[in-house]
Amino acid sequence: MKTARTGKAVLPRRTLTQLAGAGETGALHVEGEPGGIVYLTDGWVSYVESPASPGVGELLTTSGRLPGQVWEAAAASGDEVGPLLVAQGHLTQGELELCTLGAIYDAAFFVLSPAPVRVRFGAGERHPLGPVCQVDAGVLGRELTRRRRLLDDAHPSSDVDTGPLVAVPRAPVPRLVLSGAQWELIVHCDGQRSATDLARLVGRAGYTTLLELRRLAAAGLVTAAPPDEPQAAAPPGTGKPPEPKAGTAAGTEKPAEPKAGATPGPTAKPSPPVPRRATNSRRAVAAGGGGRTNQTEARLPRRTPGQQPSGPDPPPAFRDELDEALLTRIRSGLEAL
Amino acid sequence: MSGIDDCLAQAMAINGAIGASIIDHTTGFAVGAVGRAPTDDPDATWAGTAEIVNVAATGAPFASARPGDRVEDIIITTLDGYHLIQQVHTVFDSRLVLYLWLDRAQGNLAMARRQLRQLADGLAGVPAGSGAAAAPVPSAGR
Repeated sequence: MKTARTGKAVLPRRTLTQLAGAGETGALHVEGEPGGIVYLTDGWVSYVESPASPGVGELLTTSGRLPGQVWEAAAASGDEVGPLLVAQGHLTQGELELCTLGAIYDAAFFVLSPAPVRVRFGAGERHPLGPVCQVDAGVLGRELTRRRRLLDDAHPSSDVDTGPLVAVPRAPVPRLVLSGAQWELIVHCDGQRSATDLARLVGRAGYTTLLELRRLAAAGLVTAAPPDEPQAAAPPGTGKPPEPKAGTAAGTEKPAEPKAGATPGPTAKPSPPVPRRATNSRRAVAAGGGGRTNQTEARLPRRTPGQQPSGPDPPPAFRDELDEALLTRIRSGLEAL
Repeated sequence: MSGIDDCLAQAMAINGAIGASIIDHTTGFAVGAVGRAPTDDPDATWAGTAEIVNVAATGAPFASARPGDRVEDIIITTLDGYHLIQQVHTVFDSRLVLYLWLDRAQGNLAMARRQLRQLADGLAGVPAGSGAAAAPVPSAGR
């Protein structure tokens, strides 16, 4: 793949414009972080793929739209995958086009980065998806500029774009409103997954995932994981490859994930003020920070917030109310005589 | 004719249609558009449409009152026209809406809404007679 690279770094967008203007057909291999490939057909962009964004196959299988075997069988057939799936009735033409267009714009955002990188053009190379739709390189470039601006409007810092992310253990405000997509991301921010990992895991576009993460970062809900945090198992690079496999194999594993991700929640539970006994309540609060264990009672399980104190005596207020009601009824009964 | 172009052409065939487009409501990008846009700057129109969809879907307290509920369409009525925005519910993640601008004098809102729903479902591969498209039918027949 890297046999005939050009020596000097160039802006991939400029190279693409030149190739499109010349009406070329082939694949523009773009190096860099994350890099990717832009496929051209007669000067039109026919497909783009990048390690940072899920491709058509991943979008269709992770969402459960197509079983993994169907996609793999189509990919292994040697025919043009897209038209084949439509011809055999697995997809409608509309679905294929929408999915492909979405994937092209999404991957292009990552491949055609504004930084100079080394590129190589393989003339005549075609993507196995086949002809589905064609995008004008100029339109694509303008849209990417607009998307980059949207991202900065949401949150001007790129600190959540790469590297592992973690959801803050304690909400910065007492009341939160999240969209469904944001919730999905929050529960999977485990201090090891990066934006790319999250996009592949939930089967959503890389750009929209990035946009939601920037919004969450702006709201103070997601931050870059501190560098010393990862538990030795996952240096940022190595965690990536297994994720898409797990996603494409079956969407069924997904429901289990949120629970695993959500488990850190209870640890952040605020210790409730326990009014049972004045002496104990103070110690219970202090036990968390000071670690005082001078009495065994301090280690009793704490009540969870909202749990009613259990005891033989109903609260006195409740009793008074009862008595009053009874007395009123007796009084009105007597008056009626 | 391709899926997207075909869908837009059928939308323009709806009585009173002035313009139609398919818009990505995350980014405000028009995947496809035909006819006229309400303003001179089509990009601003798509961006504004995206904003309206996002406000309705996530910002409005009535948008998802119950589990499983979701916004199906948004209708804006002006003195001169109707603006219909239908969600395209693809199984995979796409976040698209189908937008139709309808002349108020020539168009029939109820008919157009129904036709647009069928187009959106056809585009998303939802089989006819199931899902969102069928919702009005069972309720009519109780």
